[in-house]
Amino acid sequence: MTSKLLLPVLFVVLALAAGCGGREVTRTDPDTVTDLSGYWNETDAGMVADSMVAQCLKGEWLTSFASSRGERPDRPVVVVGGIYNKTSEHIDTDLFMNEIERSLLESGKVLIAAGGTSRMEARSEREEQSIFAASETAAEFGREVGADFVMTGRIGSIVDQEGDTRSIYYQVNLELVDVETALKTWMGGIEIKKIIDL
Amino acid sequence: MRKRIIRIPGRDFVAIAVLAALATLACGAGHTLTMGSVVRTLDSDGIDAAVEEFRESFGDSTGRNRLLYLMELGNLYRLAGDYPTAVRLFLEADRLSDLQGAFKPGRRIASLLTSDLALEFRDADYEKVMINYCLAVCYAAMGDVENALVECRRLNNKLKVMNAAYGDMGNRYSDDAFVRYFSGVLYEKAGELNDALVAYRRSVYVYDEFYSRYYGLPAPDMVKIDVLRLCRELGFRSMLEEYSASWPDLEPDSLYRDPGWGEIVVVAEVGFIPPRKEISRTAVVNDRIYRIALPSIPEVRRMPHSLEAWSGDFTVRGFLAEDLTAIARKNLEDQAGRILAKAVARLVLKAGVAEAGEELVEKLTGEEGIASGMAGFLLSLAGAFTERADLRSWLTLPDRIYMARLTLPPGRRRVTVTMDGKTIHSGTVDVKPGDILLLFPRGG
Repeated sequence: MTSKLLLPVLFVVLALAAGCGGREVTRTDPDTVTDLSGYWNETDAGMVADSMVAQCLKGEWLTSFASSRGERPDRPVVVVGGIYNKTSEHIDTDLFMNEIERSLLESGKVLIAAGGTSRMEARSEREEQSIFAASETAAEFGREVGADFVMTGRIGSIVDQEGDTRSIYYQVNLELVDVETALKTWMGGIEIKKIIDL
Repeated sequence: MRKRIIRIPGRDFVAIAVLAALATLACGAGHTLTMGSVVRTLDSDGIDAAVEEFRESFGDSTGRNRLLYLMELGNLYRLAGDYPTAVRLFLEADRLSDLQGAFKPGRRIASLLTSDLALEFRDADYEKVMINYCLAVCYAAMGDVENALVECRRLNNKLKVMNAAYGDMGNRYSDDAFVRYFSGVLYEKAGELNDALVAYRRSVYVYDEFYSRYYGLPAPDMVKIDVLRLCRELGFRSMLEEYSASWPDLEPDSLYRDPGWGEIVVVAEVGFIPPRKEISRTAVVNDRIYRIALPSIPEVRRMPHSLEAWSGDFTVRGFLAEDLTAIARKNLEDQAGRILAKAVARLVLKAGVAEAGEELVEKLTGEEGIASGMAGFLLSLAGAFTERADLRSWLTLPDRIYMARLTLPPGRRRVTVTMDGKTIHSGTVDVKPGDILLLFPRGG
């Protein structure tokens, strides 16, 4: 009986002592895959963006893109529009959009027009220059390059859980719409499934 | 007499066990007192003073009460209108609550030798749901409907997991009718009418199936009208006929809503959820002290409130949408069997420890005398002393939540909201055609 008493008491002491550790911070390569919680993270954003852009650039729309462009650039101009978060996680869709823009730019096959707040900031800067900059260095108005295509998309997810095992299925869909004709010229999707032991 | 006991080899282990128990009590049991004072400060001196007092008085902000700390502080910031800070705290709380399944053997054993207060605070089912409700309110108040809807979807997943965990055992709080209805409003605001209808229909089902039976709160007419209205707007004729036949008393005129008008939706939280009280029984049998202590939420008589929202000639009366005190009480009753089983297990273990202590003293002194008897008695006394009910709960949650929907022609309009005749909100809003504006006044 007495030896049985010692064991639980020892556990109590160890349990209390366990809370006394300090915090340790380790710096790591940003390319390292870190799946701490299992939720959508920067690795997913980068991987999906690269994969979707590769899919997109293989599409028929790029090869059939008109060569008679007149004054327009020889490559299609794409603006990345809204990516809507339809998941049950707070996903930074701006970060995902930036990843898509980066991947498209790195391909060298398209030009990227700034959208959203970046475009507003550029316009604001142009307005400021028209007032404060020397006229020969000030950016001109009306020389923005209009986009040929707008890319939009959505991220959806289905979560399932049994006991301490959770699965999350992500479906990412993107589409490219011709700005002039409003025709959808390309649609693509990718799926990711994660199993998380809680 | 005491000196003889202190000389016993192994006394350090016993002393540490008792000291660990006492330390445990110091950290956890004061929450009810702390929050009682903070809530009084909130009523008398306002939010800033309440937050300051809370930060100073909440003892354990990083240990096993971290989740409770985050929920209370997040809610204080929400009530103060500091939504970004509230969101940061609630998101951490939600993540912590989500990952709480991990088993911590040290704490479990400590809890068997002391009380449930030695365990990490685990949020009750309704508290888990309220984290997402509070987050949705914060996002909606900041005008971020997309992220408010993330919370609605997250809540859906959470409820599925919660109910799967109960299995056939059943659970009276299996869904939240008010939060479903609030989700429907958010979906409608985002223009996602199909999802809004699903949420409204689910809300009606939960009100009539569970809230009516357990909390005396059947589906309010407003919720039913919203179901009929969206059925009509979406062209779901057979569904509309089915529901209309079920609710023949509802005025057909109330279904028409001019698409050129806008809407104000008021969500008014009233009062605070009452703290848990300890029910205990102590018995002395054969020089041993036995004590059992359980948490409860006592019944108190409460008066109904009256919510009204008006702008010019347009007036609407609100309705009770959620009775969190009733939910908390039933939820605790649902847990009573499990809490009692743990308390009995503790009682048996503590009795065993006292017996072992007495036997140990007998062996060392070589006789069955006063010293060994006293050792057993003191150990049983320590066991009884450390037996406390776990009274920890989220105390800045509202007692009840009322809602009102006011439809208005477009333009700048002054909207006044009263609770029991007292103005709780008065301000000018810009009503836009087809838009829904959310107001979150606090009703005292």
